[in-house]
Amino acid sequence: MRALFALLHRLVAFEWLRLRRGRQLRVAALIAAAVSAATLVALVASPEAQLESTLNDVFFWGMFNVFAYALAFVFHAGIIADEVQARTLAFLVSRPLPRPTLLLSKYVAGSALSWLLLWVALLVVEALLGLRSVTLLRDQGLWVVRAGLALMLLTALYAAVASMWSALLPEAAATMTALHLGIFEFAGSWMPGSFRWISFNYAAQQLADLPPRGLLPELAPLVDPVAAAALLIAATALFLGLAIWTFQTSEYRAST
Amino acid sequence: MSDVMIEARELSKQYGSVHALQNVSFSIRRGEVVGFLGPNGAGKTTTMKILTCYLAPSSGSATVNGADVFGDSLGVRKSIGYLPESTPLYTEMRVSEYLQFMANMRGIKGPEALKRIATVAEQTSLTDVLHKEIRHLSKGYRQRVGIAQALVHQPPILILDEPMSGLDPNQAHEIRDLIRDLGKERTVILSTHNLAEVQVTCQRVLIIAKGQIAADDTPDQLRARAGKPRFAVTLAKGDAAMEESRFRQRARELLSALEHVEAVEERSAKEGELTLVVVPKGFDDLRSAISKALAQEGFVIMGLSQEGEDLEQVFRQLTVGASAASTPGASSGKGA
Repeated sequence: MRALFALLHRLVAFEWLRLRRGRQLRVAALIAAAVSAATLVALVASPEAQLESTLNDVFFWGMFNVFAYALAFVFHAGIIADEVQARTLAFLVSRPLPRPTLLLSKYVAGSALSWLLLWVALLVVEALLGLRSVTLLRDQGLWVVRAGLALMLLTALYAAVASMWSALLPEAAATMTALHLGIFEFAGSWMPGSFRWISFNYAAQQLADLPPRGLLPELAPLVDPVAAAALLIAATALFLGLAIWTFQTSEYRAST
Repeated sequence: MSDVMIEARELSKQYGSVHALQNVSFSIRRGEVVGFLGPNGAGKTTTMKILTCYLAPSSGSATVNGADVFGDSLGVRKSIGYLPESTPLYTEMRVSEYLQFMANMRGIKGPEALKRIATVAEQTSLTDVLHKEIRHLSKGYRQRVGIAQALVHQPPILILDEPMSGLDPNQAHEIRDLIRDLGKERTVILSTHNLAEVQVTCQRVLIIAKGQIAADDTPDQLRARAGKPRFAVTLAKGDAAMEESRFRQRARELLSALEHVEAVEERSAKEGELTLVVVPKGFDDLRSAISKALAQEGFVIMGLSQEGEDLEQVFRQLTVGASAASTPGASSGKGA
């Protein structure tokens, strides 16, 4: 077990280095900057009395409906697809490493970078809150942390979804990830009533204690925070398991 | 310890209705440098990918250094250094970082890793570019990086898939020399469709065509299949006063009288110059005897070359059209 963790650590360190050198980190940092800038504008422009609802809007749109999706695309849609296209997969799997460890290390490295950027963006939001109104920071500071934890679970889940499509259909990983997240997650979170259960984004919003939006919000189910967290973790494990199983059993003939 | 380092038994690989490999069997002994030769799409890369545990065979089995590719794939991968086709590399990495990672992945760490990296960098002439990013290297250097990563853990077996493809003649020459050196200490299997590479580098050749082993022999024995060698000699009169007819007759008499000569044919003649083709009885190299005999009689030798023993002819015979499947030794392979 210790050897496995040591191996995982080395692989994560390598992936971390590659991601930093590659363009993914720059793209993700740009998106984080854009979200932070939009937050700044929204908070500055908002009247004092509506600051709390503006903060909810910022999180709903900026974090749950832009940033969480973007991070999955940037760091995980190419997790296997890029290796297949660059033909480095044949080389990588000839190392004496179990395939699940390879995929897991790539997943962990991408998720670590995603979370790092996420918390940088959240710290910026906290700082902006403090600058706008100390009272607001005092009232909402802890809520931002709670929303951050919900976003961490959501980005981990989306990373697993993107990894699964990357392993399953490397030639169309980005398209399939977009369709999956677009249909089930984004559209699903706007559906009326119990249809919202198809969207884990909605479960994460509930975990973050965001008020329901979309079609007929008054009919939307209220999800217990513990149940929402369990749901997100279980779904992540499921999609990650599917990704590992696919990677373990696929031959990736396109890479030949 | 067994002397057989790689053994393939009745390997088959099917993609839908396409048979990429059909009952391929061969074995490679310790210290052999074996060329895996075949046209594009013949099954070379598929075989290599099975041996490196990237693909599973549809049927049959293979062992590498005693480990089964299916049952003990980690054991197989520990024993091999693999350079895949087209040398895929992480081009955003520096050469030293990349080799460090490769060493770490093989469980080599700390000072030992640095020592190994220095050794392979020297072996592959990479010392001067260790600090450079791989994307800034020439194709030849990238190929060296690929070979260096395959060597860093000092594997007993090297599997190189088209290691010279895309290189200019100078680069190819350097890599060929490197592979020859590596072959002194290791078992090397290299796949290629370049005949020159095989002739210069390999002790043994496996020719694969349409997913089957079409031939398994030494380069010399394979060349012999193309027919007897012939020797073309171009002469000039040493004595300007000698008559033209006398010059031609004397040259033919001299060569016909040599031991192991079956026939002497005249190919062309022009004023003061004559080209004769000497056909030997067997496969002996007669160039030395020819030049000695002619020089003693005062003939001026303008050129002397060996013809007709071209591996390319054998390769074409074995791999073009339906002949591939019907060639003796096909399908089962001869083994070592």
